[in-house]
Amino acid sequence: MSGAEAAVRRGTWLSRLPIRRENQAYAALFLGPTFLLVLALIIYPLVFSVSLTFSRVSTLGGERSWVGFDNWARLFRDPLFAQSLGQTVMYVVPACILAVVIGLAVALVLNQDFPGRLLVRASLLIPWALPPVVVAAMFQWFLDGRRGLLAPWLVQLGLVDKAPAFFTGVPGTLYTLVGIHVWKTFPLIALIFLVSLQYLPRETIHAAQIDGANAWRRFRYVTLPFLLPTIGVALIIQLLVTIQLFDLIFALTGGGPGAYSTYNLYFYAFKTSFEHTNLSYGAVLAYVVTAIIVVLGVVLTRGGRSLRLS
Amino acid sequence: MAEVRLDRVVKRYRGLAHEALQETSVTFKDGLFTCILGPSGSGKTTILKLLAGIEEVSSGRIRFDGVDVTNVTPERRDVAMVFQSYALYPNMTARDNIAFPLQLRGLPRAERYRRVDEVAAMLGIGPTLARHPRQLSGGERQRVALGRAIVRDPKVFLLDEPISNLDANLRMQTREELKRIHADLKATFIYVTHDQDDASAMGDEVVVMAAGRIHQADTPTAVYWQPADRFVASFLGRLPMNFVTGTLGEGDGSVVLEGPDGLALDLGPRPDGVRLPPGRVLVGIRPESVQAARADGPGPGVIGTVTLTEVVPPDRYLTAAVGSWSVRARVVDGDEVQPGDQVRLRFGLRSLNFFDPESEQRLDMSSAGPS
Repeated sequence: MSGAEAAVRRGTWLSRLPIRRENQAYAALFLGPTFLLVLALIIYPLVFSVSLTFSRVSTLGGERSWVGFDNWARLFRDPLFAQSLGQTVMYVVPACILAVVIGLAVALVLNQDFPGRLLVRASLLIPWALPPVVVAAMFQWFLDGRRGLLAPWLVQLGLVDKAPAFFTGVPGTLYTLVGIHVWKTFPLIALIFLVSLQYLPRETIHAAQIDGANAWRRFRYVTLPFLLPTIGVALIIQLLVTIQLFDLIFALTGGGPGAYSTYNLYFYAFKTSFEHTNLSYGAVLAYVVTAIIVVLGVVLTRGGRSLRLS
Repeated sequence: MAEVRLDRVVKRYRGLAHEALQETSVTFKDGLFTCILGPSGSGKTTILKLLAGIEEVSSGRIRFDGVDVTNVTPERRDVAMVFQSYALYPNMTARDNIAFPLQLRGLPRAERYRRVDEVAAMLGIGPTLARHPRQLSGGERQRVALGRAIVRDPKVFLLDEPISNLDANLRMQTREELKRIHADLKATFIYVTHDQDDASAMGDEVVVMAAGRIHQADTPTAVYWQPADRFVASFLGRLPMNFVTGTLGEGDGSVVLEGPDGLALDLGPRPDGVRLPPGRVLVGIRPESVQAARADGPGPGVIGTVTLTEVVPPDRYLTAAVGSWSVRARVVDGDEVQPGDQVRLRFGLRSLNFFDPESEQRLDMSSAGPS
C-alpha cells in the first residue's frame, strides 16, 4: 500500500468520502436522518431479535429473563422443527423445479412470433399480480371437493372415480399448495426468461439451424447454455419466495390437515411467535430461515458466476 | 456443387409497404463466385436469407440444381452461411464451434476434431482453437465462422459481408484467401457486399442490386464498362461517372454530341459497326475515359476551365467547367494544372455509355437504330 493510499484509508469514515472538509458538517446533517431511520428500523430490530433468541420473552409481555443457548438447543429436541424443515424442502424443491421448467417453456413459446402475442404476454402476468388472499379464495372455490369446479369435471371426464381431496389429504394438501404457489409465481420467472431471450441473437439461432440443428438441438446447444446464468437467477428468486411461503398456508390450510402437514419453517415461526406467544423461540426459527436463505443465496450466486466464467 | 436459381421470387415483410425483393429471377452458376453488390436496403441480404431458408419467400420458387427447395427447412438445405456478425456459439470453444455441424451429423469426436484441425490449418487458426469466441480477435472470429462453413463441405456457400468488420489490410488478405478457398472447394459461392472492391476482387460474376431489384448480373468488367442502367453506372467506380444529356449527330467525318447551352463534344470518327442511337440520349462517361491536357496549342477536343483538382493514386483528376456542364477528367501524365487553367478535354466514342433519358436503360450502340 502506498503512503498516499494509507493516508486516505486513515481518518473517519466521513473524511474518506469524496467530500470537501468544509462541507463535511453538511454531509453529516443530510445523512443524519437517514442514518437514524436505518438505526431505528433495521439495526435496532436486528440487535433486539438476536438478544431475543438468548432470553425468554412472551409476545404478551411480562418478565424477560436470560436463558443462554436454551432456545437454540431446543431446535435439536423439537420434532415439529424437524418436520417443518423437511416440509420446507418438500415445498421448495418441486416449486423451484416446476416454476423454472414451466416458466422457461412458456417464455420459449411467447418468444415465438404468433398473432396475439402481445395480449398473451400481458395476460401472463395476471396470476402474479393477484393478491395472495384472492388467489387463495379463488382456488378454494375452484378445488372444493363438493361445490368446486374442477372435481366434477374430472369425474365427468372419467379421469377419477370420486372427487380428489385437494385440501384434506396428507401429504397431498402440501402439493396442492405447491401447485397454487407455482401457478402464482411462474409468470415472473417466465418474464425473466423472456427478457433474457430477447438478448439471444437471432443470427446465432439461424446459424445453428443452417448448421443442421433441429429445434431440440438448437435449444439444447445454443439457447439453454445461453440461459444458464438466468436459470440461476430464476432459481434464487423462486427459492426466496418459496422459503417465505406463508400467505397461502395461512389462508388455505392454517397448517393442517392432520398433524401440521402443511407447516413450513416460516409458518412455524409465525405460529410460535404469535399464537404460542413464544417470541424467543420464534426468533430462533426465523433466524434459521434467514441462515438457509443466506447460505443458498451465496452458493447459487457463486455457482452462477463460475458458470459464466467457465 | 450446385446451380442456385431464384425463379420469380418475391419477398414482402409484414408491416413493410414496399417489397424487400421485387419479382426476381436470377441464376447463380454452379461453382462460380458470385458477388451480390448493392447499397444498404437493396435486398441483397434478403436473397441470402431466402437461399438459406431462414426467411420464407412470399411467392416464387428456389431451386438447387433444378430441385425445388422452396419448402425445405434450413437444416436440410445443405448450405453454409457466414454471417456479418459471425454468429459464433459463445459457450463453445473455437474448435467446438467449427465441429458443431459435424457433431450434428453424428461424426465421432476424433473424426470431427481431425477435420477441424485440417480446416484450422488451412485458415491459420490452429493455435486459437481452445479459446472461446470472446477471447478471439475480430479476424480470428471471422476465420472461425468461415471454418464452420468450410468444414461441412456444403453445396453452396452464403457469405453475408463477412469481411466488412475487418481492417483494410486484413480485408485484402482475406479476399485472397477466400478466392483460394473457392478455387480449392469449387463450390458455389454467393457473397453479399456493399463494397465494389470486394466484388471486383473476388467475383466471377457480380449481381448489382438496389431497392429490391436486380439491375445487372454480369462479369465485374462488364458491370463497370457496360453498365445496364444509370444506377449501375453511378454506383460503380471510385469517382462518380459524368453524365450529360444531348443528341448525337455526324458531320465532317466526326461524331458530335450536342448538349445543353451550345455544348458540342467532338467524339472523333465513327468506328465501323457502331450505330448511333437517335434522338436525345443520356451519356455517361467515366472520369478515367476523359483525358485532360493543358490547352496550350490547337488540337481536337473541347476547352474547359479547371475548377478543382484531386489525386486518386496513381492518377490525378480535375473537374472542369465546359459551359454549364461540370465534368471530371483524368489529367494526362506530366501536365500540371491549377484551378482557373484552361484544359483541353478529349472523349472517345468507345468509352461512352448511352442511356435512354427516360428509362435510364442502356442503349446498345451496336444494335441501336432502326429495328
